[in-house]
Amino acid sequence: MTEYTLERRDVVHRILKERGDAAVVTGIGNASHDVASAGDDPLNMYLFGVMGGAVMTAFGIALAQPDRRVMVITGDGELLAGIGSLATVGVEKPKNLSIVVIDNQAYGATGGQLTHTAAGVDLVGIAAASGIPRTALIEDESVLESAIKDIYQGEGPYFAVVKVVAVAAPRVHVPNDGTLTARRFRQAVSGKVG
Amino acid sequence: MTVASICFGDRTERAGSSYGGATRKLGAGLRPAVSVTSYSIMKWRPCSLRKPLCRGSRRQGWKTGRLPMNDQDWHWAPDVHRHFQEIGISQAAYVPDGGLARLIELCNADETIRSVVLTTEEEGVAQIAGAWLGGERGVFLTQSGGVGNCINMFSMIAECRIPFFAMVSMRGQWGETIPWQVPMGQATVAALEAAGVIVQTAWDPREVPEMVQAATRLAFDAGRAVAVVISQRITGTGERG
Repeated sequence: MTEYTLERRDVVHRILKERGDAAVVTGIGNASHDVASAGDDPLNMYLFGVMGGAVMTAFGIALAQPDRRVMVITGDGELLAGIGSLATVGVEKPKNLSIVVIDNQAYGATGGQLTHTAAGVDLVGIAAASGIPRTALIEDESVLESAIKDIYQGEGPYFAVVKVVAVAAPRVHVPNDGTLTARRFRQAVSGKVG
Repeated sequence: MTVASICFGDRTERAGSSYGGATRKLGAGLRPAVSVTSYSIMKWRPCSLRKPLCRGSRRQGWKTGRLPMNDQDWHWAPDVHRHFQEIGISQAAYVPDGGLARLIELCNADETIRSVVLTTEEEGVAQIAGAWLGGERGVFLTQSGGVGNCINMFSMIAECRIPFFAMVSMRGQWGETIPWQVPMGQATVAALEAAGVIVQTAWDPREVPEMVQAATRLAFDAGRAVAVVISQRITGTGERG
């Protein structure tokens, strides 16, 4: 197995540093902790269940908020659970949706069991074959730096896999009251209350 | 002799009880909203007062989901679609389905509604949740079998208390001929209710527009998860596999 050097939390913090007013949806698992550890934000919608639902949740937001960049930050296991979403995104091509997969090739939240990406399943290839026009495989810092502009600018949908070391980062407090975070998020992106 | 016994032969007992229940509910206070629906309140008659039909038109009505009496061209879908427009539905998520085909076609042709074909139904639950998170209103259209695919995704609707409106067309329920459709069809309402979704079932096509109006108020104004179930008695889709 290839040895990767990027660390997931550094990667997520680096990406979020440039977020501006982008809305962020996180998939269940470590991705939520990675995003929250960079600082809580009303424009973050943390998913703590619905495995496989992050991309389509962000897709619905992206259609509703066409002038705002909507970014998914999720793990390889979570994406694999909703892999058909990439086909739907590839067909619909929402211009403001970016998907960033933090790929540690393992189910980090359940003890590090290997995911299919460890056996060679190519998520970038699946995304490209699904019709997502811009994709990237990020394995080192220089590629990460050049990809950041693509995540936030240019016509979407955009899809990137960031290969990271399979080492768990410390857990942090993540707001996990869905009723609260959902309303906070909706108000932040749309101004609507209730 | 009841109409049910004329129309459905050996289904007399079930038809009488189910349909009668729906009629009593309507008679108890609800009336079709004339201002929105295209049919006149004067045309509404309880099932028990309906005229028997000739064999040909009865069979056609049962298969196409159209009215099994007068107004052979009337279908519930245009009224429902018009209501979607009136309440500002801007996203529709669906897996193609025969029972909802006409409504789906209307949504597809409507430039104010972004219709999205899904690979599997749970994608639609997440998308419609996202629509609300983004400040819009969406509808989720599915066949009963797809409800089983959605169970885990419904936890976001419940935990986040997201207003959610679905229309479910039934298989495995009424006159079904494909045995594989029956298990999930019989589990559909129980599964929806177990996931916290309020279920309102239409047994007569005339009920559908009013029921959708009421259910969307419950969903979007009272902030609840609501499914309107379109009986297989209405859709009649039981013979195509």
